[in-house]
Amino acid sequence: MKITFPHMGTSWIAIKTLVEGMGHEVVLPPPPTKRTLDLGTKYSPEFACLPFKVLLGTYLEALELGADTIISSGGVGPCRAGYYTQLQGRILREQLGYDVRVITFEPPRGHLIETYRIIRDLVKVSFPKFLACAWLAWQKLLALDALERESHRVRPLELEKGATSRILSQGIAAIEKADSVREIKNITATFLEKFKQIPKDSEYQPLKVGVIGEIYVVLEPFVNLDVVETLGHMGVYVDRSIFLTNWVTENTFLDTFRVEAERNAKKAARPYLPELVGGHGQTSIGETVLYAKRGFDGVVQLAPFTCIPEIVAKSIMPRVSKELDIPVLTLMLDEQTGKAGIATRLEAFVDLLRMRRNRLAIARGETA
Amino acid sequence: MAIRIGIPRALAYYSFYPQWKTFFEELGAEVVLSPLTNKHIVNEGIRNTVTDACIPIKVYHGHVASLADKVDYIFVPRIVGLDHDATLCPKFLGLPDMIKSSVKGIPLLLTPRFDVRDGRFAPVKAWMKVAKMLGAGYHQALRAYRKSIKVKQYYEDLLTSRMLPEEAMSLLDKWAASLKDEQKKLSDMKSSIASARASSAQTLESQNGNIRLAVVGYPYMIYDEFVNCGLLDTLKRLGTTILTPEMVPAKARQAQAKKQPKYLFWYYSNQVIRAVYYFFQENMVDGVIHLTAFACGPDAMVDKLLELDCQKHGRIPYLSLCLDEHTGRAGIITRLEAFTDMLVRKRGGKR
Repeated sequence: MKITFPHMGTSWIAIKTLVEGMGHEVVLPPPPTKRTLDLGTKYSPEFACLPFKVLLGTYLEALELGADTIISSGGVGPCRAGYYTQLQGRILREQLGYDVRVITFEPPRGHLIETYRIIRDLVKVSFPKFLACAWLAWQKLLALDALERESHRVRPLELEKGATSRILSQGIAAIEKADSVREIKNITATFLEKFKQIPKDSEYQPLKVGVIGEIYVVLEPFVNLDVVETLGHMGVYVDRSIFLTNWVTENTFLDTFRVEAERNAKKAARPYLPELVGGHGQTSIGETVLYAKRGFDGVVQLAPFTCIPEIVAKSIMPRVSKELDIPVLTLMLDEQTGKAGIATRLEAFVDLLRMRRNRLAIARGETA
Repeated sequence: MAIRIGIPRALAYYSFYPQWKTFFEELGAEVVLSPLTNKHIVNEGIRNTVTDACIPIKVYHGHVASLADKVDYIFVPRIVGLDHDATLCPKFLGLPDMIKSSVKGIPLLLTPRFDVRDGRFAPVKAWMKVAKMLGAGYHQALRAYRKSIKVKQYYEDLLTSRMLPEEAMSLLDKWAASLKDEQKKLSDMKSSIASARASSAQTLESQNGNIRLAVVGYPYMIYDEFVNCGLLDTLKRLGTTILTPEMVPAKARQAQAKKQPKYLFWYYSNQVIRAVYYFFQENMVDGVIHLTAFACGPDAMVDKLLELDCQKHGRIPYLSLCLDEHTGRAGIITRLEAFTDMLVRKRGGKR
């Protein structure tokens, strides 16, 4: 089988390791580009959300490269993402005539046996060997998250613009090539050290902004038009609420054993939105509350256009913003969104946050 | 003076109003229904919601705003699950919270949470809680609940005998007002439903030459004449026979569930798909019209599925109409005329 899978941030590095570890050939789709999006948009329903379109485009590009099997994640709703593979499979087979197999990993909770069967069918090597590979993939995820987290901290302080991003991409490339856990640990240590050596402005107090919203648009820089990096270059410390590793733990382990994940965020959301509305709607509200309590200067909410859970969250956001006095900027992203437009809005937002911080400092009797 | 309870004429109203009304009236409350959707209500709704919301949600906000200074409570239920297959659209799930954050100056909200997946008696408990809030006793509340369920059954019977919601509701009102004797009322209702059913079967028979159209979509899109620019009237004028998902008995819809490889996550979406499968199975329709709202999340899936299914099922002609607050009557009429003309021609007939 020639297996392909969708892109989400740097997750491909881990998934590639995993699938190769199962003994299959991987057709790595090219990272999403304008062409991917155009292809996806052409065959997707008009009001499907941006992730649906990018994913469909990615599959089409991978099929061009000779893939014959797609693996992706499922879900139980009420967010639409859980139904993607169903519909995308039908579009690819019935409308476009591809002979393609789509394998959906449902959340293990309630589908344990099914998940086991899929894995049993997929794994072509001995089970211990597969487990070793899975462990390696997991270590890669941890390393990627560690580097990315550090880059968010360092970027606003760098003296030479772009230095952090350069080292980050070198680090990612090195992790991709690594094939033992020890090597990964070494790489992580080396690059964390390199981050330390970037010349920094140590006096500078960056604004602190939390980035929240729907997981795919938060994690995939192509669709969020590099919001995190753009903010970093404006001298803003960005705290992203979602990282790959917590997504994996929530969706596989915790959920299976009914441990309530994101408990803090959900608890914090309760006064405003007591109901689970699917996707990351409730967490978005909760995270905003938590960022306000942690003294952040502002929050940027990212969501694909027509994303139902995030629209519910957006409707409630003004009340949260007002009652907890935390500025929120909501960016709805679709295939029409342009990078310059996003940059302008972020600049304006950051300007306002700066003024607000100075005003608050003066009010406290400090000099700005 | 009796407590006045406002019910917005939008969203789940079309499925449940007779039940809600009966329940509140049995508790001695006065039910105030918001007016038919109009320009003013739509504008109020747009003013009170985020731009990304769909037209039904905007309209709902408008209806709530129009009730604001007329009532003591507004009934904004949080309907989470109506069957074990799915929840409702996330916007139904977060509805009370959206209303609270968005509409200014509203009275107290009654927001019971209905989820049958919480257990068989969960809906009863939710209703009892509402009754308690309104100061009614346990037995009175239980009686009201029983009666409301009965009325709901009559209402659904009327709908499945191919009556439109407004007709069915006014018939139920007429019965409630004209007859005092419970037993007589019951038998009268039963015979009326039977006769309505017989006559509708007859009409379908006698109008066999007509183009038969499935008009599918969510009840709040199909039956809100202002939002859909009088779609059903236009279709009637064009001499077509109309079938909607609500006209298919619930059991018959449920029987189609096995044809779905994976259930959709939204109650109303499943009903739409299953109704269409039923129409296909019974060979009841010549064409399918899907009514959807601009940027409707679930419908992005449903619309494509229907398109593929119509294609699969002997290439049944399919028209998807997308509505928002800017939809113009003339545009809708033109498209409906073109569609029916095409169906007539396909059959080899003349207008």
